[in-house]
Amino acid sequence: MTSEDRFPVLSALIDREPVDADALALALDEPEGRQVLVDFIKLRGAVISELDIDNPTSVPVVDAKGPGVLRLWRLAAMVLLPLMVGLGGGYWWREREQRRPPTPTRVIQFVPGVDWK
Amino acid sequence: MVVSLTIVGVSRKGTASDAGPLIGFIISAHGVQTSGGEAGGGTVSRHWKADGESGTLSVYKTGESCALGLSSGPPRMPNAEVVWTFDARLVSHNEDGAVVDLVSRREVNDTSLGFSSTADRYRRLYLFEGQPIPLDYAALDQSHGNDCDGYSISASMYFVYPPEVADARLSYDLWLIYTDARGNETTQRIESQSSQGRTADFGFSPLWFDTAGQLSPTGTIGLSVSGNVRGRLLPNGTVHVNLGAVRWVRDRMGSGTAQGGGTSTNIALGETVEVQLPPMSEYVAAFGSIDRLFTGATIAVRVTPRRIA
Repeated sequence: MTSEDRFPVLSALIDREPVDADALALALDEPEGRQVLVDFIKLRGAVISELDIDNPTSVPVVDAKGPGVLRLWRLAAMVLLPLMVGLGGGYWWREREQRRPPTPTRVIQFVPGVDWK
Repeated sequence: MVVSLTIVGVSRKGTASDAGPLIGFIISAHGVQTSGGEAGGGTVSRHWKADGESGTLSVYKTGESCALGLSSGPPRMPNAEVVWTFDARLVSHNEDGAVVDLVSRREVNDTSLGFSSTADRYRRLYLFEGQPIPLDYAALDQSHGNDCDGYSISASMYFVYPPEVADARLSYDLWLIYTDARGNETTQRIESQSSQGRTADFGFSPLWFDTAGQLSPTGTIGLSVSGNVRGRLLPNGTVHVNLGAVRWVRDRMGSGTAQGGGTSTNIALGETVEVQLPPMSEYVAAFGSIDRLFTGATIAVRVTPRRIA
């Protein structure tokens, strides 16, 4: 089973498809899920480099404002979207941890008749 | 009128260079007025450098005033209407308190006051910081016609801290963790703060259970855990924490029983220690003994001390 199979919601997020927020929260709840998200972002960065996105011929011109503006928007989205997802996930993770009691290093027991009455 | 006497002594374990806390021994003495208020009085203290040191403190009453005078040493006015003398000796001390041997006597030179002299009384006092022990209450004969009811005297102790921790302020991250027989956790978190050596009270919101022992906001069996925490930050960065907890099980009318206990331990700043309460066995009139409802359930309090100033 690949990471995409296990975490389809992350794959969909990277592809900028609609995702279920609860499914995304569950995926980010797992350490492997967070690692997969980071891997996807790295992969996307590598793909962008290989596609030579700066070559005008590889970018379809569909915006009336011109190819330069469209390219800038796409570049900004590709950079900012994963960043925002990462920051949001980190904040969510931190908040979640603060709602959990800390793990004790020691356990003491009250003993009835001795220090408990 | 209440007279309160506090003797303060200071003691240090180990060598003179040891940075451990010193111990103060205090006698507090106050007049108590019939209106319920406190009249004049005050405290007097002695500082001892080591176990075995001793000292005398005294309290005296003169004139019509409800106030008392105090002195660190033998009575300044041995012919006063009333003179209390306290000979105290620091027997030992540890991180929780001090043991003091005390010989006290009351000499009454004015027999019209309504109370009389006493012979020497020997007592061994087990003193904990912030918990005074009453030593004497002498009620005045009301035919004197003033508003002074009597005199109250008590003893207490405190620790004298090194400068680097004397003004510390501590916070306590407190978690209540109720775990049912199936392992499901219900938690609450509160934070208490207090200054060095002072007590902070805490109280978690009650948990309600139905008559099957299951959590239910509309249940009729209430479980409340409250208590207090007192910490002394030591120069080595650990906090000597005294944790007191009371567990109260009751019905909706407030009828129930409470059990409680206290323990102490050293905890590093930022470290978390769990204190587990015994299995519930309280008796609630409306339900009888509740232990059968909570078989396998556990209740614990976790505490994490931090220095905030």
